[in-house]
Amino acid sequence: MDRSQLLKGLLDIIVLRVLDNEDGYGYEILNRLRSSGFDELGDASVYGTLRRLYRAGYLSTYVQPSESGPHRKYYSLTEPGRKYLRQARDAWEDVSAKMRILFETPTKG
Amino acid sequence: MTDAPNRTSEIASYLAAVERHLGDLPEPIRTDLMSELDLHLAEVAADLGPGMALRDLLGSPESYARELRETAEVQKEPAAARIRRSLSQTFAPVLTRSKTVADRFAASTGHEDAAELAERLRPGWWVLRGAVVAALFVYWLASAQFGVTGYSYFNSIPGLIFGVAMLLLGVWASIKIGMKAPEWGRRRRRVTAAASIAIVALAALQFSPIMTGAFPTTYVETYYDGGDDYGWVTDVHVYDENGRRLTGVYLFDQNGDPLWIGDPGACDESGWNDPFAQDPEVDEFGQAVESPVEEYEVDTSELGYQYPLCAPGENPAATPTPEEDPTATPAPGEGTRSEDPATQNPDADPTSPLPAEADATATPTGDAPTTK
Repeated sequence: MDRSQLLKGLLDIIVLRVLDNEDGYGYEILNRLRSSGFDELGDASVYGTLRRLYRAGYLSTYVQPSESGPHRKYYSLTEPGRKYLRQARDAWEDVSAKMRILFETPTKG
Repeated sequence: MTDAPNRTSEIASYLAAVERHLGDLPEPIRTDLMSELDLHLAEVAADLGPGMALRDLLGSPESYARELRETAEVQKEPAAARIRRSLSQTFAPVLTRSKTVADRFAASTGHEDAAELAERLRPGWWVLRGAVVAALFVYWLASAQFGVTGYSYFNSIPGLIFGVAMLLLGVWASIKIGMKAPEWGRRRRRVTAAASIAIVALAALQFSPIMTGAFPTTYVETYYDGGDDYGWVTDVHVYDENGRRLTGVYLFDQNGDPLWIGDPGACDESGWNDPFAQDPEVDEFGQAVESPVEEYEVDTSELGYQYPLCAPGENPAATPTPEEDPTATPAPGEGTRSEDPATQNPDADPTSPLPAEADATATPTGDAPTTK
């Protein structure tokens, strides 16, 4: 099954959660997600999500020089971003709990 | 390993391709995505292994753009919506400025804003629209009926009643439409408004001469003149076969009735040959006489016009040129004199510019047969 479509609905909460612990720049965030098992996510999806969350005011940016390459643009959560993450987490846990119950219900046969 | 210049051009090429595939996005979103993408791709490229290309890691620019579009939560715009958005973006500054001016004007009239003033003026607009439609209808109807533009229906009582009735009907219908319009859909209201503005603009164009005080009353040709090929003839000049002009000539048809060809009024007053004036030099046999006019009570009106109606050379425009002379120049002595009693002797022609002897053989240069 192609999980990318399923994950697209969760992109906001995934990216915000990754940045909740530590600020990061685009490609690094993608690597964190990949190391967390989200191999289906593409760079464009992460970059697009970052820009959308930034436009919505949930993220702020700052640039830091890099010793090994070009300057890097770091993203960090804003207060509205944290609030949005809490609401999204609550919504996810609610849906997740219901889904668990739904799947744990014995099927006929 | 890919060196730095190549990596830079690779990034630029990739960026340009992505931007091409995002061309239909709203400008603010596209600008935001593209403004940071070069830096992002540089970060990605910095972590690329030796010999790896951006395409290997990110996929094709087209698929990258598609993914970006999906995460930017923007659906691909239909062409019509894109054109509308483009137009509205283009005219937005003008509209904003116009609204500001309109609001300022409305405020100067004691209203909150232009919208409130427009609401107040709306019934007046309905009346104007109805009156204009009625006026146009009556105007066009009169033009079609009488073949005359600018004909006033109001010169007669029935016409006046008809005009007023049409005016009242137009105003009534317009008010009904105006009051009903709020119940209609947006599209229908817009079409109605556009049609109304178009009609008023057409009326302004149609009736603009009234405003300038130069209302034209123009007859529209609707009849056929019966094929009168000589209606345009104002005079007749007669020549004999020697090219000499004959004067004092009458024209008759096969029944002996005079031919009334020409227009005596077209001659200059000074040189006009009054066709009804009694000719003191001509008797009933066409011979010159010395008797005074009073002794010959010839009613020339029974003979028709006497040609030429105008004195020779009176009208410079009628002076023919040799090239226009349809009569061949005869050799001296070849010609014969006309014996038609209606034809006057050229020798007796008081208006002939040349002596009879010279005239008989000369090529006419200034008196070629022509009509004016």
